[in-house]
Amino acid sequence: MNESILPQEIKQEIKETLKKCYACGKCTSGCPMAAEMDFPPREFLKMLALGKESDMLSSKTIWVCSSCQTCYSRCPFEINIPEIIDRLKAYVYKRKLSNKEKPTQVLHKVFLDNIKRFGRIHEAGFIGEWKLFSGKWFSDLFLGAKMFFKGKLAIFPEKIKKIEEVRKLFK
Amino acid sequence: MQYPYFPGCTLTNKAKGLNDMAKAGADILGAPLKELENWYCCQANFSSVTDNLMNHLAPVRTLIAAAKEGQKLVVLCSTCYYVLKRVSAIMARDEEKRKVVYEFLEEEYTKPVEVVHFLEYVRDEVGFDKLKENVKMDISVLAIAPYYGCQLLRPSKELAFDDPFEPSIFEEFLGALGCESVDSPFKTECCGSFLTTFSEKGVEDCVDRVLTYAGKNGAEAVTTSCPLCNFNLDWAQKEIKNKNEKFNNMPVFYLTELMALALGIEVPVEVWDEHVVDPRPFLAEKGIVKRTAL
Repeated sequence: MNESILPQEIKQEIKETLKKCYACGKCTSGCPMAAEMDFPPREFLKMLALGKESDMLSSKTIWVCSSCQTCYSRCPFEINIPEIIDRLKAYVYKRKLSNKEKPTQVLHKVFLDNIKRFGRIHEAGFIGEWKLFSGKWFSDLFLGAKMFFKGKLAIFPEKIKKIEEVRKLFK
Repeated sequence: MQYPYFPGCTLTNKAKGLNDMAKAGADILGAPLKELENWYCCQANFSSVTDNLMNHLAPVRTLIAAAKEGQKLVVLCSTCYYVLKRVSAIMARDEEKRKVVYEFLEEEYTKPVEVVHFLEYVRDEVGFDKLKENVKMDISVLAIAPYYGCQLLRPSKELAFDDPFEPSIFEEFLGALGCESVDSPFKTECCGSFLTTFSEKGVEDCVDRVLTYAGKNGAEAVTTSCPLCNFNLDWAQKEIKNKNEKFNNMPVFYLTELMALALGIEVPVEVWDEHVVDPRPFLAEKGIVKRTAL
């Protein structure tokens, strides 16, 4: 992949932030998801500092991060790692650059579509649609049925008043 | 003083126990919760990219609606609390962004609304002393580990809920209810969050850590205010048990269910039915719920 596919202003901002990082590793040692990532937070920052942002755009890390804010809270220089990750995630998502962790990407889309339609989340429809598009058709089928019978999934969606105003937000 | 209350989507769907018991409890405490008339999904995920206002408009609309009904907005779900409070912080400190919002929504964000969590509401508006006076049932036999999760605490500068690594409000609340609160090392760690959608193993690791260490410290159950944490902690246990025989299953309570028990509210069967790890045998063993009621 080519270098510097990120716009200059994002790149510059990341660069400024990363000047503060001295790789102490408090972020990675506190990260509950580090074991699931291909680049744990410290490595992730180091790669960005070295200008390998194109590799990071296709990393698993940006999708695995659960935004728990532990790294940000622990960092001695208050580097906002979740923000950097969110920036890259938004960039990748808009341009459909990555096919890593596809189910999560589909999840984001279906979630937003649901809000667009009802203004609130209708869990049964939302999960059903996500299953359909993510290709995980039969996983959790049992779980879904069990939740349905426990009364956890409502059949009909609630709709809010003034739905037009919500739709306007998406334009 | 009555303030508007924001339940959130999950509390009207999956987490009815959390919602209904909170309302019933608040009624007894003389501080009833009045649902905000027109509320919207909080969007469930705060975008850390703060310069793109598009990502924050949905919560702003809820905040504007809340400002018409009171100075504070009471929120119970941790995720909604996190999103609404962070967005209100952005709005409060940045006049330029307020202007952009005004131009787009054609509704002005003038009065700042203070977003408070249900725990803060009970502490500040009712008082833990008064909560204690209202306790009808002795639940001192229960050893409960409070689980805060991420979204009540971090980033602490914006949320200002409690100390990010040594919080205590949950313990004070449980103390007022009269049960034993057990400290545990992973009470502020992540539960795995939405990773439950594609990496079960990641979630299982997190949940295993939280519950095992709470158990080692003497807890028999955990409690939380977050529907997603509750889902992960509750539903992941079966798989963990399959992989590790020695793992002890543990009921996961919503904080409002414990409050309802202590205040002597009759908890409907449907609320207990929502649980995967059924808490009724545990409660019966402790003499809290009669066996005949099962």
